[in-house]
Amino acid sequence: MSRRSCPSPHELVKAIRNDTLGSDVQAHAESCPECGETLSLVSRLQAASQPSENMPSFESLRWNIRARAILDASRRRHHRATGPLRSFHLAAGLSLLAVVLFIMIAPFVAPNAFHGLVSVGPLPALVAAAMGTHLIALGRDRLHG
Amino acid sequence: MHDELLHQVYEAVGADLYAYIERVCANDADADDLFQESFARLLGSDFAGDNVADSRRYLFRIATNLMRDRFRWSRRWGFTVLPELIGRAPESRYLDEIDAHRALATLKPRQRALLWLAYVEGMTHDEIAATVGVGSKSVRVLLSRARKEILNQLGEHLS
Ligand SMILES: [Zn+2]
Repeated sequence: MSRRSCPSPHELVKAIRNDTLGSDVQAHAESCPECGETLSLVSRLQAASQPSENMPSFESLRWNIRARAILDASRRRHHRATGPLRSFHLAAGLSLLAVVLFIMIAPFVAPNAFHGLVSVGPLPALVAAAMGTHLIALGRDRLHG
Repeated sequence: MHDELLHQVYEAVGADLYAYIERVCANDADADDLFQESFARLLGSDFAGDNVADSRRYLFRIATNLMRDRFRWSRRWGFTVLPELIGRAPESRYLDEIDAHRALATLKPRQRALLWLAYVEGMTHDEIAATVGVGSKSVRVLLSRARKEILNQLGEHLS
């Protein structure tokens, strides 16, 4: 039989699924190696197409979807509520970073004018600690948000 | 989507979708999660379909995307996973089913998806292309390669 008369695989699958495989197609498949192969493959895979018993019931699916929706809404609320706080921590952390960079770079740019500020001693350490606190708070927020 | 349509979609598509996800993922925990996530996306998206056929197409596309993302994340979508990791022995007495499970388990997840959509779901190449997110021409090439591989595997099991 000519190749032209071969049914497409999706036609074969639909026919098998709907139990409407005609005798002419069956006869063709017996004489056509490719269609015979396709039929055999379809029946093998169809045999494995039953879902396992683990498939969630409709009720459990519906509850799961509701629980997800509630969780998403609560996440969004938390995100909105902590938004301004996060912005504050970010702004504070970045300005402190700018101060630290200024203290580190200024002695090279204007050594004489800056001499007094550097002698303050523990100032850079204090600024770094404060900056760290803000960035940790920001990180923790993000983790829980 | 109202509850009644959701129920109809679950009844009409649920078992097919779950079997598809189970066979492509070959991991029960993932299957549950991806199945529920697919339905959640169907409800949560702006998908406007109001019938079972549209929902079916949408669910298969979403589930395929989710599986691809998950496998890509672990770099396994286009690569063969060791069969012993995924060749979960099916609780089946039927030789055909065991053969098909084993043969599928030796293929790449994307090949399993293509074969399933073509030979179990009976999708056309264009429908598969839309579901898997590759061109129709690529589907033809990838599918014919996957078909050759699974037939080899099934042949070995038969002999
Ligand atoms: Zn033929």
